[in-house]
Amino acid sequence: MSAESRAGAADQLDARDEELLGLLRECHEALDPMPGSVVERSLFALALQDLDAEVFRLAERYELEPAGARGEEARVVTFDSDSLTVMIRIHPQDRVVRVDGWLAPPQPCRVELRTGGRVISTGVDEEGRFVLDQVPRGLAQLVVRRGEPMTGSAEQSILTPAIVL
Amino acid sequence: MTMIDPPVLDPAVPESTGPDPAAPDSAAPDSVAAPQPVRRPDADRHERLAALLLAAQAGRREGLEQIVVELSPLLWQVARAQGLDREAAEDAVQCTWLTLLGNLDRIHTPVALTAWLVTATKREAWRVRAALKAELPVDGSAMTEMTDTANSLPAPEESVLLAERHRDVWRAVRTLPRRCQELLRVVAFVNRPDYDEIAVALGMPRGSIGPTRGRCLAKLRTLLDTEPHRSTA
Repeated sequence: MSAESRAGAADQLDARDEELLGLLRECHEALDPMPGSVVERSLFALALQDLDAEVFRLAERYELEPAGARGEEARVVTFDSDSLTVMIRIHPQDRVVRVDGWLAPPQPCRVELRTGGRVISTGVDEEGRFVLDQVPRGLAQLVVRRGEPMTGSAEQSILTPAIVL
Repeated sequence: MTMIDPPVLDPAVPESTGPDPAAPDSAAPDSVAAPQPVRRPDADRHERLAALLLAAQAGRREGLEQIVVELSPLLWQVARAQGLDREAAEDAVQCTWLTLLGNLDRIHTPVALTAWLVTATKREAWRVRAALKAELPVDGSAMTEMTDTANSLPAPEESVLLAERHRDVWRAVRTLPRRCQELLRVVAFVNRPDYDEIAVALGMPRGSIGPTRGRCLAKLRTLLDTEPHRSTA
């Protein structure tokens, strides 16, 4: 049967088509399996269930010179949202990490880091800088809460995806 | 933190095990053991997804969580088919879920949900790629780190993971036009009733995915029939 006549049958997949799609699916699953961490991190990131939150998206990431007791590299990750950019430098320090951040444009807000066990929170200086120290390793999510009591409207949070510290 | 064992769906299992069609002891690679039509109880799946959607909209967390478990494997394929590396794909899928939260109320059917998610994942993938392109001038080396150069699929030689009958299919698929590869990759993870909506999500005119998919599948079949055991790579 020609490609054309088969194509005409639009959605009429026969058993062979189904089989091929099934095989293909299995190929992809075997060769490029979705890491379990996709679901794990997504669920972690969704836990706040903040319907009005803006989303920070990964804009850049790179590693610095090896540092820290374990010889691990510090990482720099930048996230963009529609209104804000946040850059964080993650320094591994033995069992914990230190996070230095910079928010642009600078504005009054609080920065929270949700980790598995607790939430670590800090303010931001007039240049947009903040520091989160003694942060436990593991999954974490950065939440920026804008502090301006704007006219009537509730403050809007901005969330990053879950990252591994 | 909430952790759910991905129960129903296979793909979220650890990488080493996987569905492993190549398991040495897997019965009769050539004849019997046709692929289990695991993904074909479409109607059931639809009903379940519809119920989960309602639960999620009512603010019930388990609803949303199950949707994440259920549909992340598809979104992973979409992100990877867009050429993102594994880490970037993971971020793209997460951002898609975060974005869904604010849009849940506007989505009324499981089909619309799937289509919305596929569209959103593509958009997230584009954003990541655009951001990296903008930031990187000419040589684009980091770009290739982030988005696989060999955007097309791994060579069959790499695929010691695959049983023979899979290898033949894989070899053949790799010789298809890239568009076909992407399309079939996503379609293989989609419920049949969703094709039409997914067509729109993939940027194809409504209704066209049928014929296009048909053509891609037809080519694949021709390849398999005419060059049964030749590597074309």
